Amino acid sequence: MINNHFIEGLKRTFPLFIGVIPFGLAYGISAKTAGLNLFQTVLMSLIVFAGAAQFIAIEMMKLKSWIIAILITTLVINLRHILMSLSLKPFLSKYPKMLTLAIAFGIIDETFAVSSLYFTEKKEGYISFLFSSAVLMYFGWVGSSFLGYVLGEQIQDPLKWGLDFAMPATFIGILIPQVRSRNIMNTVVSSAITATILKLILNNPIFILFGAIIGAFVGYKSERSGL
Amino acid sequence: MIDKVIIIIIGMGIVTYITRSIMLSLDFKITKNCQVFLSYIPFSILSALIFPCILVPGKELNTTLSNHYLIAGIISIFIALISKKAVVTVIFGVTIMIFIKALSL
Repeated sequence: MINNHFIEGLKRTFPLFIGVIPFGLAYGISAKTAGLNLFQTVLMSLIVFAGAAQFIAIEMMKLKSWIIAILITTLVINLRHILMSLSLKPFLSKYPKMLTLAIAFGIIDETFAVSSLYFTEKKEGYISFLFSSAVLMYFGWVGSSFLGYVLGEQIQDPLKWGLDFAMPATFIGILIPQVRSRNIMNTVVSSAITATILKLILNNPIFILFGAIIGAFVGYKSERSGL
Repeated sequence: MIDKVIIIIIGMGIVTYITRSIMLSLDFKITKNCQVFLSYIPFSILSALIFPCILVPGKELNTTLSNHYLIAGIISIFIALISKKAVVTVIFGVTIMIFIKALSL
């Protein structure tokens, strides 16, 4: 498991590891404010490992929402993972199924972003890359959730430091140099427009899923018909 | 008696894991056409993660200079175009962001 791809996974994920820390801290603080105890706060990060869904679940718990409402919201927010794992499927099909089902737990926005582009670049999937990327993000997320809870009010709004920009900046750094064809350009532009408009209308992270589907469809159409 | 929060956490964990694993657990062939579509997913997902984040930092569209994310985002795009390296983009991007925040305080 420890090979060049494992090391490369750690390297390429590192900026995202830094970028997730302010979000984990903010989650820990918000869970504490909502009245969760330390065990519950860390357990959620350990078991769910999904930033946006955890933030919204905490807000819904504060409002005393029904359990089923929280679970449906979680499902809706996380539907984009279906698209991510589907897109990784061709790269992972050469590995034993049990192994891919274990690694599936680690498919989050950040690990998907670095892995899918790495696999596309190498024209081959490497589970050790996805694994090291996921382990690093898991430590970052769980660790900073814990610290956020423990430090609590002592840290002033971690999302205002500017460090939270590490996440979009890394995504920009891995996407922009890859926009080498008109098809990819069409994909990126249509996804950006769709997602931005839907974020304004829906105010729910599901805009990522819709933007991604429309963008990939435009890319497909443009490759097939030479738009 | 397990408390409500633990039930929510376990339920969320199951729901989330299903979204991550269902496509890998099912056995099916991906057609050629579908594969072309899927090959664009990494680019479209990244785009959907980046642009709403920098154009709509809160709940409203903000294309003015008061939007720090947009300014730092545009500069980062140029840095990415020139350097072609994610690491360089992050280091410069975050530094610029911290700088902008410090200036506007």
